[in-house]
Amino acid sequence: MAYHPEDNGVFCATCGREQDPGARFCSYCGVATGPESGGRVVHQSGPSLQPAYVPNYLVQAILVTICCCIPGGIVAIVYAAQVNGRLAAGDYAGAANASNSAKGWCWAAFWIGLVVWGLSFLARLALGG
Amino acid sequence: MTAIPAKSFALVQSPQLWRWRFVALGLAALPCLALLYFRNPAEGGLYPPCLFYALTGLHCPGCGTLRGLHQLLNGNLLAAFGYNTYTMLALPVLGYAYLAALLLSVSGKRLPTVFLPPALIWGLLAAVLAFWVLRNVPVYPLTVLAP
Repeated sequence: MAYHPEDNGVFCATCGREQDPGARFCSYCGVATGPESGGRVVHQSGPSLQPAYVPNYLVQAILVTICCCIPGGIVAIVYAAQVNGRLAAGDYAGAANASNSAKGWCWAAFWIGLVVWGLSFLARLALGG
Repeated sequence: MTAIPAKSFALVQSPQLWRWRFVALGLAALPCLALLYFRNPAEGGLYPPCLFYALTGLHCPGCGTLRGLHQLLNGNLLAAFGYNTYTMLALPVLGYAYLAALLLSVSGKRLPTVFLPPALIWGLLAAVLAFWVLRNVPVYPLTVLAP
């Protein structure tokens, strides 16, 4: 995972905006940036300016636990914690993997919940409430 | 440097794709909130039941959400917290997240976000699991947590 900061853009991992090289704090959201702050900065290669934003889907996970689509929401919270843990450790590929898992569990719980709710609704209509 | 899969950045990369979804979500929520305001789920009606409760007879972390929202919409904050403390505490966070996503997709503006330390998210997980267990314990101070 060698990277060459001089070749790449530096992005704030919190708000995703590009930073001045060598900046110690994000000029947009004020969060500490730079490798000395625990590596919450992503250096990216290539011409595309992808924001270094790895969503943890925590909000969706909370919503899913509230909507009773367990255990998907609980598992998604576990992956959300892993996303931020790996981001804090500088493991961006790992964070992206956990992010995709969190997203998958949220959607799986959502669709399973919707289908089962729909079926139970139809059943209650058929049985006369 | 390993590239981060583009899959992760749907909202950031194509906000216009998400714009109508967030607007539609907000518009769809309005009649639901009106229904919740006027019809009390505690008195029946065709509200969705909790499947976990139907199957096990135990309360899940989300049980009491609809009854709580009805009380909240009618201004009974205490009764709302009584039905589901977790939902009521999560509401401001969910509301802010929706607002931030809507604003980002519509105008491209970012509301300030905080990077949650992982320990805080693990703590949340522990709190949700504890809430789930404790609200099913039929002993006095804990019965407050039950819907």
